[in-house]
Amino acid sequence: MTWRAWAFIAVIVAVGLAGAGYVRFAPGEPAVSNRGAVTDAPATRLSVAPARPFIMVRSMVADDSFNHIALAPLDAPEGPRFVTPLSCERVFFAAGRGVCLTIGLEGITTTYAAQVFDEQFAVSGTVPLTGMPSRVRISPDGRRAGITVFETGHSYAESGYSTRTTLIDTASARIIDHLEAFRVTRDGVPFHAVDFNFWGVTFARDGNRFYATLGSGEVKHLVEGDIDARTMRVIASDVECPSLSPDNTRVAFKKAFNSARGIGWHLHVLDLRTMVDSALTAETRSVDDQVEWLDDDHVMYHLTGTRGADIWSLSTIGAEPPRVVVPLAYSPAVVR
Amino acid sequence: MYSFDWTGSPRAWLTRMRDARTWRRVTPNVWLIGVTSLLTDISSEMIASILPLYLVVFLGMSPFMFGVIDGLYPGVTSLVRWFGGVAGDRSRRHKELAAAGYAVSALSRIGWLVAGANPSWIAATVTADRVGKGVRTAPRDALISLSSAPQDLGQSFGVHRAMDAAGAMLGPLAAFVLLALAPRRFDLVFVASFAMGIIGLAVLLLFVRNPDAAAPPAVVASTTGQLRALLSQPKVWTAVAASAALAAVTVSDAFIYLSLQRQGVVSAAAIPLLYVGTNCVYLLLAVPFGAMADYVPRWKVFLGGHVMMVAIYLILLIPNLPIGGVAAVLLLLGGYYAATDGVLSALISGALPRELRGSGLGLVATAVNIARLLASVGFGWLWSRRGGPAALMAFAIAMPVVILVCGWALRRTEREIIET
Repeated sequence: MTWRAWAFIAVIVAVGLAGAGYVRFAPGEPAVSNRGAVTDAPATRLSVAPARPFIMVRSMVADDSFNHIALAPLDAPEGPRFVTPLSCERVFFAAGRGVCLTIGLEGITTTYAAQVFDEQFAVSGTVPLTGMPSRVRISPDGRRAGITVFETGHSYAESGYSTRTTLIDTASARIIDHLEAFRVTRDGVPFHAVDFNFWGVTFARDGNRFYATLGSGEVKHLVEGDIDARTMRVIASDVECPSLSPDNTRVAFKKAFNSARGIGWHLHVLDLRTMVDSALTAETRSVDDQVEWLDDDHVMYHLTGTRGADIWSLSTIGAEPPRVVVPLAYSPAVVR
Repeated sequence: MYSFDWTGSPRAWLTRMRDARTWRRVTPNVWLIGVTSLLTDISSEMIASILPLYLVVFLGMSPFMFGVIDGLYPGVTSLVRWFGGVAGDRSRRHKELAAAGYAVSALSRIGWLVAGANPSWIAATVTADRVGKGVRTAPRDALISLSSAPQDLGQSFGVHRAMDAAGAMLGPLAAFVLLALAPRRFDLVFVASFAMGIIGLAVLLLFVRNPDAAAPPAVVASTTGQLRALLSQPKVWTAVAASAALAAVTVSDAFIYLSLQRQGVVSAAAIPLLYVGTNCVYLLLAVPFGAMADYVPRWKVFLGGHVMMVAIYLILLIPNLPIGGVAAVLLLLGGYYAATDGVLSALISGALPRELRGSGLGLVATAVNIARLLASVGFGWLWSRRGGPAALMAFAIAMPVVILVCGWALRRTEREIIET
């Protein structure tokens, strides 16, 4: 054989050995993320569900609790958790009703669904979804859920993805409508374009009024909507993934940046009474999440390394640095 | 469906396709470049097919970030194609330039392992892959053309494109099998993709020859000089202008699939299957159509492909499209690619002296890429203003006019060649 053939065999062997070495020595399941500031997940578990208030999360601990919904007491969220039998990609819970977004394999096609469950984690209904689960929220009165999925190959933008946002009645586990079917106005006049995308619903206390993102072209608008009237109006721009504070006066959101230092999203808070937008500068990393309010003055969000995620909290009024509030967890919901 | 003024009978063409000697005329070098492309396409499609799932479900990100990345570098990857070709001609090192492009793309796979959820690193990884793809395209096509006899260019490019399409079909399958064996181990997909890329690069570096390596470097010293040399050839500038004009009235795959979806005949979940179907037809027709382009004038096959695109527009305009319409669209779309992509490279290569192959192929790749961007913007604008059917109607009226003008211009350059 020529030296070229030998060299080729050497390349194949080297690549094979490197691959085998990676499989052998790389940490198998999602372990600690690559930022170093993370504490380990608690070794012990709670044997009974904690009393309210607690934080519901999706567990990212690399054991049999992985992907399962877990409950961490609000006064000691970094400590032992109660692990439930339900497993999800994304979860939310309010007023006795929860929604769990799942991915399943059926033959060679992937299926997506939303499962509605109660306080005993019994599933009362399932709604099939048309794309990858992205965001879910339930109204504070528990009546309705807003779910955003990403659909591939559906957008009219060449390399784009598009979203679909669906409202669900939690009692019957039926679809109320899709936001794409609502009438939108801007400055009092009808507003419509074929490239509209809606995502990231957040509900007001009455379970009827809501906020969401409307993306059209390069601009991301904040819309305020009315479910019963099937209407939305644009109230601000440059707002993505809004989250309404428990007292319903402010909206926390992510805002895209594109500078010499890179691209990504930073967290901001918009005061709905004054429409003043303030950046939460204590968090310097890029955050791509719909935040959840821990209380009236703190927000929570996940940050992912290559192998796992932790939930961090950040003050919306002070300047103290962000801290890990629930290690190795994802998709937090405060259940009060 | 469409008719050629055949210079021979279809039976003679079929006989030619069945003849083993026809296949032997595809040189080992072309087959080996095909192997590199096949492995590289497996590598890139493995990642492309799992990327939405990885970003949205695993990292919890919004994939709209790709819109941001596209906005950052408009046209950069288009121009890179032209420079790749020019540099290849200047140095006569097509192989090394193509290898550099393949290497950058292969190394970008490692980027996914270390980028995690950092948007800037993800942007850098995606950009590196695209620049690598842009750089290698023209030198690779130049290598194929320099490795083939002028009368076999169509078939050579057909074989190469068929292998490319095969890789595009195997990649998603490989990723799916890996994730089924090791759920959520996206890192293993990145490692496997890197391995495929490296093996593809090794095939190119170790086994592909650079046919013109010993030839003296091109005499044209400047980039503008090279451009002038290219445009002084009527056959070349006519072909470049014609392909750009046709690309400017060609609706992208994404819009075609979206139209089918809006018609209600296919669901969003079935869209990946439409890609597979189109690719399958492309894979099967690339060689026959390529061989046909060595048998009848290449510009006729090229225009024939665009006639298929007109047929697609007309089918999409049918109200209450039956499911058979979807099959027809997939057949025609696969046929369109088979009759245009490799055939255009064969057409350009056949009209150029050896020392201008890279810049000519790079120029046409850049022109077509920019025209496609314009077509997407234009079609999107029409769609949002006047609706899908009106936008399709506009393109369905414009395309035949452009085909006729291009046919007239291309036929004229053919006559000039014969006269001189």
